Amino acid sequence: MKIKTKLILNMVIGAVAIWSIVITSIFSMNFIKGKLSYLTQKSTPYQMRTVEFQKELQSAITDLIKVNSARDLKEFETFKAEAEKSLLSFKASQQSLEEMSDSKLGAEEELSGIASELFIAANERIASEKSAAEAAAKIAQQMKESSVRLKELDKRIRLLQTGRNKNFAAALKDTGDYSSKLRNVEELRNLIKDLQLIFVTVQNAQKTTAVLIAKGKVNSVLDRIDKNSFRNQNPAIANDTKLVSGKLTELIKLQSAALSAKDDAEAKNKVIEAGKELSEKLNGLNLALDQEAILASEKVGLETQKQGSSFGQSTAANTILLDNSELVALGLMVEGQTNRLFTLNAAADIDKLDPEIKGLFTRISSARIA
Amino acid sequence: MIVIVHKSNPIAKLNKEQLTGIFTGKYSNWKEVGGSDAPILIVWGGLTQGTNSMFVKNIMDGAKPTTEVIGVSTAEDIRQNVSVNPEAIGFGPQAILNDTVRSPETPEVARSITLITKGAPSAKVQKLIDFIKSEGKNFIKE
Repeated sequence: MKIKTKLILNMVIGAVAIWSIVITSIFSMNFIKGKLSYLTQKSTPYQMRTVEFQKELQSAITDLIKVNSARDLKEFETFKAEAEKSLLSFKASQQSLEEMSDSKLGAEEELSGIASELFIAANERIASEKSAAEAAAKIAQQMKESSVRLKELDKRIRLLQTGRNKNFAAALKDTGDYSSKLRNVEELRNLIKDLQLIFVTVQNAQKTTAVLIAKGKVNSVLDRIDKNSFRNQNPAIANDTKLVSGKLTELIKLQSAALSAKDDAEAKNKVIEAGKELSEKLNGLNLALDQEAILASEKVGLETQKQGSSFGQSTAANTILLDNSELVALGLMVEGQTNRLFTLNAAADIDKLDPEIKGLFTRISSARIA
Repeated sequence: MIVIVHKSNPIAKLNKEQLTGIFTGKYSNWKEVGGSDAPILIVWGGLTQGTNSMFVKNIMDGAKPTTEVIGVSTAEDIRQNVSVNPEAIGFGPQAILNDTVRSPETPEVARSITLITKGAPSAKVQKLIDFIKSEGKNFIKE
């Protein structure tokens, strides 16, 4: 072997040895560095930072949960400020830990992103709830005012209806009174006509039996005249009927006497004279009763018309009362359904209620038109 | 069926012959049948035909009634006319009698009560029929 070759070989071996040392050194250094890093992480300050970091994280999460549970805007703002403060502390804690561990954790960025989304969602929820509460309060107030107005209207219409009913009842009574009067006048008129007929029968009687029968009929008619309430309430008519009754009884006696004493001219003349007088009285009484019947008939006609008008008004008042009662009932139903609307949780339930409320408003429109 | 006279009429009893005499016009004064000296005034109901025919058949043995009467319409009219005429006499259904008239003793004339239903009686009608056949019999003179 040549010296040159030996030198080259030595150089190669030397180089290999050097490189082996270098490589081994690098690996060793890295191994030591790893061990040192592990030891650093396991050291007390690092552990303390880690615990602190975890505490800050928990605090931030707790504050964020509080933000989510805020009931109004004021609470939201307060809780949000607290959460933001917690997030800053958490950020600082993370930075401190990162510096110590020389590594990027990224937890704060992620949590901040979540927090931002939470702030927006919570804010929208509170704003929505506030609007709903305001709407509910406004509707409740309006419904309350409407109910009060409807009840007041109902009260006034009831008074109106009561008044109209009283008028109708009075008109009905008046009509009944006048109808009764007319009926009594007509009855009396018929009885007087019966007397007129009997009077003619007596005047023309040829037998005592006929006079006797006529007398019996007169007694029956006079009994009915005595019971006639129009006659009893009208002194002039009562006096006239009494007079006619007396004259007719006298005529019957005279005719009986005339029939018993045949061919007695004087007796017959007495019958004729009594008959003339009675005829005049009966005609006068008939005329008076005709007048009374016309007046009573006119009065009945007027009262019937008045009664019809009162009945119409009473019916109208009743109809209005019924419609208004329906409005009151529908108003209360809308109030109930509206209140229900703000207690529902699911949108589907609200959708179900929507047609019911719309149906109520349709009925209210119909009732208002009526 | 019942015969009625004025409350002041003292007649206590009338038999078939007397009633027939009165309603045919044979007797025209109450004294002829044991009453006071006063003409007899007959009241005859035009609308009580059932009672009239029964009276003529059972009391008058079919004799023709007189036409010299106070002709009235209903049983109530008969009672009203008798009540205001001391000489009057009339007859009618049992219900005609009240305190405005009186009824002398006369032969009894009654007619059967016939109940006819259209188809099977309803529950209420059956109840009435049952009553007539049971407790109601106490109120019916047979």
